[in-house]
Amino acid sequence: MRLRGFVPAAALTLLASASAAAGEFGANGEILPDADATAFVDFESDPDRYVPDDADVKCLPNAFTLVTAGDALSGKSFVTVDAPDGCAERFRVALPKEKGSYRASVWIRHGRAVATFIVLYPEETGLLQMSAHMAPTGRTTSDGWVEMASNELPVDGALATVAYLRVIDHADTAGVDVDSLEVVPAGEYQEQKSCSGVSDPVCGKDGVCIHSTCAMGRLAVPPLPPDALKNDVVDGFSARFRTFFGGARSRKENLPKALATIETMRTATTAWEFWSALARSVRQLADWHTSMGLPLGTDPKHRLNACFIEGDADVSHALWPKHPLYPDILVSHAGAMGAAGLKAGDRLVAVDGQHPLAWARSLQDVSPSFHVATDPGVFAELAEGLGGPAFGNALIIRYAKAFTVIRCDGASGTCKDEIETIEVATLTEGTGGAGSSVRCDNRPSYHFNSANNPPPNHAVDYGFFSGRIQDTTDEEDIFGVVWDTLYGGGDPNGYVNGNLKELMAFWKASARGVILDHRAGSGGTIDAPELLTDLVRPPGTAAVMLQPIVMAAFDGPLDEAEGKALFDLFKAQSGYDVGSVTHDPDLPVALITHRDGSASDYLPLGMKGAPKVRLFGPHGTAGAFSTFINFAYPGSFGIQLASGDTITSDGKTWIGHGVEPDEVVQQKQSDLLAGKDSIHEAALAWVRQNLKPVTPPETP
Amino acid sequence: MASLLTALLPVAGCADEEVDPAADTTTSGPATTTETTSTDTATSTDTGAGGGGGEGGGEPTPVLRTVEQRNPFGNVAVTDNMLWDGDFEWSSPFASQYGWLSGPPYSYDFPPPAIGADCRSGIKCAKLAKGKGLIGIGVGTGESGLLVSVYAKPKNGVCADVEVVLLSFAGNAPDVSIPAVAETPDARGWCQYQATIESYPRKTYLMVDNNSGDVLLVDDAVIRPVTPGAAPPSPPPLAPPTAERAAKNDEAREALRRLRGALLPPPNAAKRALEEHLAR
Repeated sequence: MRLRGFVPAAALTLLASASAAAGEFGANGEILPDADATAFVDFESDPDRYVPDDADVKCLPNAFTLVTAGDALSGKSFVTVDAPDGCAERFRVALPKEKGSYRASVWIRHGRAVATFIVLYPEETGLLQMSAHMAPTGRTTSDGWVEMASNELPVDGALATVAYLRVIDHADTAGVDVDSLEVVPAGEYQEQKSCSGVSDPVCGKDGVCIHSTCAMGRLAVPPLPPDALKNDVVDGFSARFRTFFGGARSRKENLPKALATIETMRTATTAWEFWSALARSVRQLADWHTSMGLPLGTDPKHRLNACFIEGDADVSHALWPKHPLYPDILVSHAGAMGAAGLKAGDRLVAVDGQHPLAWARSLQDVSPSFHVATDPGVFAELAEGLGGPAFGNALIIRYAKAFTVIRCDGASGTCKDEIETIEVATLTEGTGGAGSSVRCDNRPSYHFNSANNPPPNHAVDYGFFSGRIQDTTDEEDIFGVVWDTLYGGGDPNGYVNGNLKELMAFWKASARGVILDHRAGSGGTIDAPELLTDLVRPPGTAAVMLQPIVMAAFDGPLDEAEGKALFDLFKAQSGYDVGSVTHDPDLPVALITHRDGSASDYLPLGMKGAPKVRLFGPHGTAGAFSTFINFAYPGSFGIQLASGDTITSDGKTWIGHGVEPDEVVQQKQSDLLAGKDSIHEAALAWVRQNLKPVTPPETP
Repeated sequence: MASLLTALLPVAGCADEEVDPAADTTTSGPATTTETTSTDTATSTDTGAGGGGGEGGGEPTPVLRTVEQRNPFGNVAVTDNMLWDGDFEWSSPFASQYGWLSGPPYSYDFPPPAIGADCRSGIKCAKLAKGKGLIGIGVGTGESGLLVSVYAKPKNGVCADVEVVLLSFAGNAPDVSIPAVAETPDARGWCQYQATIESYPRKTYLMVDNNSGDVLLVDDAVIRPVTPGAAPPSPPPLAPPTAERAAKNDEAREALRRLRGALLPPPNAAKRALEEHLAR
């Protein structure tokens, strides 16, 4: 009687064929290097390390231990890698001084690791670093070894400075065992290519033009699953999407297209064709919380140190009319250097010949960092993502060939009567250094005194910036806060909730009006918006959060009656509980939103309709009324999948429906040129008209 | 994964081997292409190079190890699993929110998994410290009954030292203890916990508590609808939980309520460290 599941070597070879697992095993279970191997590191003695010149001092000491033990995969020894946080261990591999193409494999044990095969070139060659990410092949041994392998990596050995395996261990204190690093010839050598914009065909089917360089897609993804597994893998993803993704609107409008794209994976013949179809399907879910990260990065070559904002180009419509669907795109703010001469109030009219937002939407097919609002009528994420030298999406310098602007003059409040197209390739090269690069936060300017304002480069990040509103009087007592995070993390006295509590106490005691500037609301956890609503409204349940999705493939309530029933059923356990009996019914609070999602959707939902609250913004929020779950494939891609919906007491589902401002205000170009923040001005005017009455002094 | 075996066997010519049909995956063994109970004999193994003895006479060659081809994507054949990631293949130190919580105190911080052949299927499984528990996040099936199954590998060999509970969240169903199929583990050390539940319409949470006094491996958790027309096994008796069990269930419920609507945490420490490193 043979053991269940026993399969001879022929089947193993069949399974492994697509991933071309290297190294077969001898009769006694010792790994045998591939006869054609270009390099084989068996770790029988201390391996040759590589340490980058700019490595942090904590990363300089050896992060490996040579271990001699009977269960070494090859020979008598292996290494255990236990690198400090933020460090990696690197092992050099000698490759022939000629052009070639290789696949790398390595065996690890006892913990998770990110393994990458990397080749570096001297700067003067003009060649870029090439990194091939390694993923499990499925081969395991009874004593715990697991094989990781890369796709084919082209190497010009005559020019390369060094080739090495980089290991970042994510094990617990014991570290990760590493043995039998093998490099075998595979595929044909390909030259690195320059390109001009994402539509440049020079990169071919296996590449994407990013930062004017053809990124080789296969280096970022796992090997193509063998035919015996391919359909099962596709079925698995399809089932997950169908079972768990989204809420009522996002499932109805986006899920079918994504599922159709997943089906195309079945006929894929290359690793990139297979995995990029999955990535594309994720992007077609078109959800604020949903993404698939791929390590497809190339270093930025050029710099566009300017941020863009949606608005009303009232000064330049004669030269370039407004688009029927999309808002105008204006320069919100720019850095002193590397901004192509752009400054606040200039107008971006086209990217590669299209309206900037139409162009940005077209990137859904190609951009791993594609990020949109779940509400299909909101484009703030795309607008914000256009600019910036490195942070955020920086879509123009990543993917565009050229962009078209109208330059304007702040002093005269007019625009030039000409349209200028700028080639990305002509932009300043380099990154400009830390601190000089602007962040894009949809705020043309700040309105406290200079000591209280965020930094000049708009790096609000996780900060709270608060104080008296500039140009208001002591009698008015109008205060405000600029902040982006609502990550309370469930800690009522933690950093975020502690800051909010302190501010709320101060405002209740001392303010006659408050402006909450949350124009780059990056979400967080529900406790923070719940807390903030304590300032403005009596207790209640604003909504129930059916998240993650509560029933397999739940397309949402059939009608309002079912929605109301779900609200009642989940109210006690999953309520978005807002307000407090200690709220201040007399204090006017203006909330400014612009690019806001997730917990930053819930904040305006919880504030709206409160006795003395008014929401200001150019349009609704992202409508990301769900949570998400992460999946990650070892050493390679990760998927974040939105799941669930939110229902208010009227039975309405909210996923894909942003919270509309009470007062829709567009940033005017004329105001930008005059140094004015249109939306802030509108909020301030309303607060001034509704100041909290001055409490008369108590009579003795 | 069972369909993988089906696809391979004709090539391999192993007509006498057990094949687990996909429909029975909740009760099947792990899907691997080799399996052995020993690492010191060649008679039951394939090492990929023609074998080292066994039937050829003479002294068997000592074998260091056997090699298995597993599905690196896990148990993908169970496409109707109501748990987000029942076999832990998609766990990551970079996940802000994964399909399992761990604790107490419960949070989305997921402990480093075990990898390799120790796991029952795929290449990853959960590794649970003593006294700790897991809560798997799942969905309900409306009116359909549920088949619940999970495997755990207690080092002490006592299946009863692992408690498995299908946890109610919104009060629309009772908590149900999922019993072990046997008192002792199978030949590979795994205990299976399995039951059929009549109905669990919305939100399911699967708790696994490690009372074994040592590290516990957990793998192959499946909650799936009862196939229409199938005759399900009898549901477990619904005895009232002990006070201790009830307290643990309530603690888990409170954690789930506290973590409700965890919407977009900033990158966790591991992710920040990796991004920082990769950026250099």
